[in-house]
Amino acid sequence: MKNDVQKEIDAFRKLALADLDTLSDAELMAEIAADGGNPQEMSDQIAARLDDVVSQFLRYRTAEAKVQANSKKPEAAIWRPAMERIKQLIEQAFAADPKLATAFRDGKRQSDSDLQTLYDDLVDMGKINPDHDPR
Amino acid sequence: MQQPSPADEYATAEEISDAVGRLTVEEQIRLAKKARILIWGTEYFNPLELLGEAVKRALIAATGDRRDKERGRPWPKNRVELPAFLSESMKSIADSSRESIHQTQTVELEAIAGDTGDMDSALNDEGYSQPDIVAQAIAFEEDEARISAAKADVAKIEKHFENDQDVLAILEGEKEEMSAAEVLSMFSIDQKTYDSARRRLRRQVDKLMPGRSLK
Repeated sequence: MKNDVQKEIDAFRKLALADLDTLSDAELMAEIAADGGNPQEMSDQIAARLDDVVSQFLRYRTAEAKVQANSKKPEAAIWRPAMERIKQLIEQAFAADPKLATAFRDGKRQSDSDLQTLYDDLVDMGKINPDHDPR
Repeated sequence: MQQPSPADEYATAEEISDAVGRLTVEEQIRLAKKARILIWGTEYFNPLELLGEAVKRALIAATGDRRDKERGRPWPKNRVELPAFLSESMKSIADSSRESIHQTQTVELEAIAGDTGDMDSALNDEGYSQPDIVAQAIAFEEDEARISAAKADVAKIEKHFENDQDVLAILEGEKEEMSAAEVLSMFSIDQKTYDSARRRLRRQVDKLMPGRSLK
């Protein structure tokens, strides 16, 4: 696109960006209102999208780290506490570190199996100090 | 060995996550509006996709853990505020997209395609069947669609401003890479007129930008 069209678009873009930089926050909000927009709705939409990016990235990296860690250590029989205790420990971990809740979407709407996996992940990350195996 | 100064410290993934969560409504909207302007002529169709990519690249740099062709861009947290950092990062990503390899490869492919622009026939005639050549042909056609869309956008904006001499003046000045002062002098307009024309242009670009919703 190295032609007149590209040059024209470059000019539009530079001028528009320069103007946006001169706009105060109050003017920006007034513009949104004049266009019939709702700043809070827009903000929620943007925040949700960025939250998706961050949580997906962190979960993906955690899963990868888990695969790597598992490939290095021999399989051991996994002992987990009862489901109610697992839920309690996960809630405590999220309360102690709110970023975890973002990364793992608060652990809501998950099956028992998902919660067991989440519990394992949080133990691997050192965010839960596992109960002692009573056996 | 010299220790890095605090000003050069880069943010961790957790710090990036925290800072993204602390962006104000005004900062979020300003970034989204910038993204909307920046995606023009790129492979991105959604401003939030570009903004998300900027955040992702900061995270990639923070973890130092690249996958495939992922590219990281570290955030010097003590030197640059997050909104300014994301703004520059989006600009860089958008610039790279516009100058993508697809666009440079088209020079050769256009030569192969000749006057008809029919890539399939041209490639068959030339005996090309390697996957990379076929992929380049697909990329060429995607770029062609992108260029056509951009031309239509430009025509629409030009039509809107065809009788607005002030906007035409600042556009001409920008295309000739003139400074604002040079534009004022050459076209005999004052600063207020310049600012007002630039504001009208941005508002109209924003409204006429097709298919670029904040979703």
